[in-house]
Amino acid sequence: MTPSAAINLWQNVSSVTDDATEETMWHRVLHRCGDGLFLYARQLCRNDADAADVVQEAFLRAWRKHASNGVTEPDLPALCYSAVRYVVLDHQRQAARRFRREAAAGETWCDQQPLFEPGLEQAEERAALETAIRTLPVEQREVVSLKTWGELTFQQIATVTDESPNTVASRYRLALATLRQRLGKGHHE
Amino acid sequence: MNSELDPLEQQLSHLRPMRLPSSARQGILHEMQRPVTRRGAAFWLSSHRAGFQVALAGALSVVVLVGSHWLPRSPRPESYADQPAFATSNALAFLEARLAAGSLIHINSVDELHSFSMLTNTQIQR
Repeated sequence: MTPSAAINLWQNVSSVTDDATEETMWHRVLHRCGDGLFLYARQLCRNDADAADVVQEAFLRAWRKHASNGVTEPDLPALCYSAVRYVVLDHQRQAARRFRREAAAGETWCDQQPLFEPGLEQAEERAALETAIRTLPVEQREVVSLKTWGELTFQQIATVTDESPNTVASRYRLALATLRQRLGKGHHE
Repeated sequence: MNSELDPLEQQLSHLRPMRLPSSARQGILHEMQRPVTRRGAAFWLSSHRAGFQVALAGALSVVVLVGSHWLPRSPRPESYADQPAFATSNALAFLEARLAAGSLIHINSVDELHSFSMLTNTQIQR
């Protein structure tokens, strides 16, 4: 099976199992970006249960705030990712002591649940890629996540992360270079 | 922006994030499909209605104040600087003269008609 066929299969399964009745643009965005939001939240939360709660709270917060102010569908993903970040920061402020303890424990994730859906082929390659992504510094991982799976522009990512677009773009390039280096080493070993 | 992806970016884009747990997804959908949160909608409407009422009351007060100041108390304002009042008094005088010309009231008695209310009362008496 080719990668594109696998993706099509995944999308078909996803559309069947999704209960999202695509009534509004918010439903469509939830359907399209829900998994990306969850991935982003998992990178910031280090805990799947917390990440799911964060996504739920952030999405509803964005919905309540922007549902009737004329926001357009192309702007929604960035707003939702931004809301996820704010909710995580809120939670971190509330549990600052716990967060500092977790941060002091290092960059390793508490529960090493897989980040990505298991592919039907090239499992080894996928695992190597995931391992390499996990070793990226959190700032670079955040940008890669927002760019690749959030499908945001550098400008939108800059807005979400409160950084300049140049900083975001250079982090992305640095992350790709690091990934190439690590994957190259892995292949050579 | 360069839209072409290099092989590594393509590899990355082929990875699919783990799915958002269905409980969270259902929670969001459930919250969004609640009947437009009647309590919230009622609060929104009432708050906006109250605001509208306050704004309306304020606007009416301003109109009354400006109107009472603007309408002349005497048909001949002391100063020409009060242009609106002066224009109004001229129009009033012209109207009074026209009415007097077609009526039995003597032209001198027109000077005693200083307001619309007096004029109306006189006409009613006829």
